[in-house]
Amino acid sequence: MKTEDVIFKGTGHGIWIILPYDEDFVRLKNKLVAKLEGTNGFFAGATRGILDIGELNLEEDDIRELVGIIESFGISVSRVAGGIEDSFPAIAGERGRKGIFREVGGKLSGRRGPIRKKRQPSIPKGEAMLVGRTLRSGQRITGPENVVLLGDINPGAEVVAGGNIIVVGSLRGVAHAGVPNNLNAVVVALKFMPTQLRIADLIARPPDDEHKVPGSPEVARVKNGRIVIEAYSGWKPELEEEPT
Amino acid sequence: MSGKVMVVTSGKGGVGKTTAAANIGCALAVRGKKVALVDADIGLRNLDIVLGLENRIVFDIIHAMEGRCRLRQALIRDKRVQTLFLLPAAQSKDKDAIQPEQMKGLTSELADDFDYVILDCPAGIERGFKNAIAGAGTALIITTPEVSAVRDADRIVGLLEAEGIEKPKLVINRLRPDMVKRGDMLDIEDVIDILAIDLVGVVPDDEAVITSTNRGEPVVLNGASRAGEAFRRIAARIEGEDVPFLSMEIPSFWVRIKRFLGAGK
Repeated sequence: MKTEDVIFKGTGHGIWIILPYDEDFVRLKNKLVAKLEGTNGFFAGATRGILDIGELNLEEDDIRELVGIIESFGISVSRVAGGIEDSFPAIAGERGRKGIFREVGGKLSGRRGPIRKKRQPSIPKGEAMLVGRTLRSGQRITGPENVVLLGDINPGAEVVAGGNIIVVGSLRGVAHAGVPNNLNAVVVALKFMPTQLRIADLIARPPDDEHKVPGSPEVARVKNGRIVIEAYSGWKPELEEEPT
Repeated sequence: MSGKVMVVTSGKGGVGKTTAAANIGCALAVRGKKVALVDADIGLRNLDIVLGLENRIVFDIIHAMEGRCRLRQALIRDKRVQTLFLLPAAQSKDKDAIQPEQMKGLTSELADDFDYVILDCPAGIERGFKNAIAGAGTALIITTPEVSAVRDADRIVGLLEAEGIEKPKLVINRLRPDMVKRGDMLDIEDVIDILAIDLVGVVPDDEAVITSTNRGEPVVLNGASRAGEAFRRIAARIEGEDVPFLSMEIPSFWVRIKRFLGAGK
């Protein structure tokens, strides 16, 4: 993604500070300072700043200088993302925080999103959107985090969620959980007969010759890089630990 | 290579546009032609269901037009016929989501790669119709032997002429020979008399069409179906072959008994 200006994005994982593609480092610094001044200290005190250098090819010292600028405005940088080089020495990590890692674009969208994370062995909790109706053909709802639907998803309807999708009813349409790249997201439905199922950038569809009507609730999740559907009974969610 | 861009249209709804588009496209592909079926009925897509490809849709025509994916990514290869492709419509949008100019660009891009680009037009004469015919070089008019359907077809012929699409071809769908014989239905001559365009096929009313639609298997792949045979002959005529019309005679009592017993097919 190549932009003109520095972009701030608040996500559940922290504040992303996305740098534009600018080969002139001085101009880049000025843009960053101007943007930070424009926030009037709004983000001061934030502890989870993430500096996304995108496709910029920066020296270690340059990154350190940029991190210094951001921190002088009261935002502490926990991570640096992006970059051309495969391995950076830990810069933010020097201050006892997480090191730098490289993030990879998804297969489905091909876009660079600000909430790319490495796989963690837990299901994210957080906000849930509650929808109390049946989704009919052509209707589509999207939720930034979890979506709980008290009703059916008919063929031709679609639910897209950043986190998990729970359908208290029949899932006959398309469910897309974990957008854009949360492979820990799950889809649960009382009657599981989706047209198509997507988790992060994986896509699955039922076999063409199978027309079974499920008797009991089922759950779909990613196992060894593939979407698998299992009986809900006997499945234990591994939820994220409570924040302390 | 520059293929033929053909719109399947009728004016009236429910006369079998989608069924005809799917089956004629499929029959042409079986003959070895490379065929792209384009569902222009945005918001009320059906062609994917008739072809049994609904669960393969990831990108649709709107994604392709907005540049959110490449055209090739939105094309779904048929699961039975290797040279048949579907460009599905979007379900959560409406007809205003595209412009006739965009459709022109899309069909000409497809025509570079395919022998036939067949557009399934929505019912009506509004925006959706105008979009669907924008890039078409020829038209196939579907009608049933009913006064109302023929009237709408006549209106469509006039509108197509105004858009510079001359000499559309006619398909009479869902003919019931027994009713024609009793004089309860318009016969082929009556329809041609009014519309005065070239007849390219007559498709008998056939229950197999309903079952094949529900199963997502085009009826042309069913060797026993008379409607399937009629669609195969239409494909042959579109290819320029001179094939006789399917006999609309009612099979004799004994033939029907045999058919009922599953033998005389």
